[in-house]
Amino acid sequence: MAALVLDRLTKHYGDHAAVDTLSLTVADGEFLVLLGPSGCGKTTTLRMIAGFVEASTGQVSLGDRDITREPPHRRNIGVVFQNYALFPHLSVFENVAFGLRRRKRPEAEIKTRVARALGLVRLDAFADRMPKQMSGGQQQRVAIARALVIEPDILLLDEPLSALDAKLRLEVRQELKALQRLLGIATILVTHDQDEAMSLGDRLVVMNAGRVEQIGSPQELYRQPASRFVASFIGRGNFLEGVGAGHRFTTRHGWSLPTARPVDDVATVLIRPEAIHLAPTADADRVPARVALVTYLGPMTEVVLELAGGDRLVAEQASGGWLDRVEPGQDIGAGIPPEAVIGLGAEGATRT
Amino acid sequence: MATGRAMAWRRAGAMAPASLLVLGFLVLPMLLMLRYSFNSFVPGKFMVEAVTVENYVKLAADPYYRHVLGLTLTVSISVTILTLIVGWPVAQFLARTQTRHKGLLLLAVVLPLFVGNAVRAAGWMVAFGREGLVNRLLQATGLIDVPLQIMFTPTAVIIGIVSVNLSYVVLTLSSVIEGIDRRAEEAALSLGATPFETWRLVTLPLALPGLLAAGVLSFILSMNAYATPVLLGGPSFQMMAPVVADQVLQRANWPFGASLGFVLMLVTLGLTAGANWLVGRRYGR
Repeated sequence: MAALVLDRLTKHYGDHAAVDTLSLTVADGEFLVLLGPSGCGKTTTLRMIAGFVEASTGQVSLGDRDITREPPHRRNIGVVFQNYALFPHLSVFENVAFGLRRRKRPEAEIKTRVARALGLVRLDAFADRMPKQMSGGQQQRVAIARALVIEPDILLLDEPLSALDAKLRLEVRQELKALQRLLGIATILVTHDQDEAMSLGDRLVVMNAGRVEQIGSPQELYRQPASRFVASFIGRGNFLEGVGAGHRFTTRHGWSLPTARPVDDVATVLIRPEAIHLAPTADADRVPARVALVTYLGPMTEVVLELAGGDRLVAEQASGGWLDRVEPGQDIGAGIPPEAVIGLGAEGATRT
Repeated sequence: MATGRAMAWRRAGAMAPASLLVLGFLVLPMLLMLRYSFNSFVPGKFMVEAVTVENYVKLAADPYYRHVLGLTLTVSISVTILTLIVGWPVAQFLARTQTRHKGLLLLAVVLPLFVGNAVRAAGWMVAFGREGLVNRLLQATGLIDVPLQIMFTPTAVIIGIVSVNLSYVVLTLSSVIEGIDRRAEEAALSLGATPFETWRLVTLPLALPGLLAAGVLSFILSMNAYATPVLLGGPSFQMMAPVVADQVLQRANWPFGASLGFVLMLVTLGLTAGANWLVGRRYGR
């Protein structure tokens, strides 16, 4: 059974729809990521699930429970906030015990369950500390333990890693993923960071202006983005505009390239930089291209290419060999396999 | 970049005018008053230089003054509790409102302070009289048949002082509540705390230092209230500040007035420090 179902969930602020008829299902044990730029409605969606914001219309169901009008304290949902939101006047132990005390659990049970939760986030030794005596990463782990100890029906994470510095972020990210797998708890994470989304989510929901742009696995979103918005939000890409017909796309500059799928009515195609195969010379499979800029990135080298017709492409290929000696102005060959040319729907038109 | 020492000098320089003012116009006169309180009062000769504790002994021995101090404390504590209870919801609303007219609302809170205490008390006199607004209103709605005696009762004085202190308390509390992390309250709700439990277990403890500050402010203002008890309490209702003024201005008994003033100050200070210590111990700040 689905852990959580959102049915045409909508939030209006005046005339403005912050979240617009959003429907979504989270499976048991699934890690779902809501991804989008600020103001896309992802946080409002999360807050409606938690019950902090009342839905204008639509329905939120947890298991077979309709919780749309349920106050937050009766929902049994774990929430972790960006700023940790620990209770500064309570010890780490009491922070974690808070939810169990509200549930009137016996003292002995509280002790064991808090100890177990703190063990999960490797903070067993910190039970007596006050939150302000701990680092940001430790505080966030306390917040995670506090949300998990009540055995919530679903765990909501509101940009939980963005207050941490880069190194710590990777650490807590991995820990979070391992913990979620271990407990098998349905989880929704909200973020604007595509790396975080790709690395954590079983499925990603890309949101834009209050609506779902596309839902899919990280691989699906990367390889088969439904719109230019999704393509530019997840990974990098070359966007070429022009006209498609059958299995051929012709750019505005007159460059015609074969495609694996039919591209009728397609006005924009995407080519990922790493899908372009560079070679020292042009041949039957490789169009001639002039190097405009070379950037050495260590394992990869990024090359900006200018094609005869005026199209520009950014290509990325493993460093080494002839590529290390390539210079701007040089003429090389660029091979674009037909399956690497991905037709994009008009802005916001295609949704899965 | 200024060095640490230069910075310290600059800071000292900036604080000097205020420090000198306090020293010259507050500390020195108070030391003088302290000295006066050990002088003796001889009728006909007024103040006579001496070193005696007779004023303090008289104060402690005379049940009248003990009564005045007790009444002042009762009124002040009642006023403090009332202002905190009445002020909190207003302060919370002010702190949490999303309206664009917040500046206007803040002005409305401060507005009563634009009228002096004496003028405001005069207004209350009009409202509280036998034929006053309050009695007329109560009679018109049929709640009472015979006009209530409100003027010259502790109720009138307490309402009067509460109306003065409320502005200060609301302003202090709302800035404290504004500083409380709403996410912490939401976390409590998500963990199963009812809205009231959330308030009692999270909001209130986090607001405690501010609640204490607001309470102390209200308490000090009430302990030293003058115009309101004189005008609304009438001649038989005696609080400390008017009694001090009476000794000094009417009876020209500076030594006894000074000792009364010092006892008032010490009691206020002592209770404030005590409250501070209690809250600090209870919540380990």
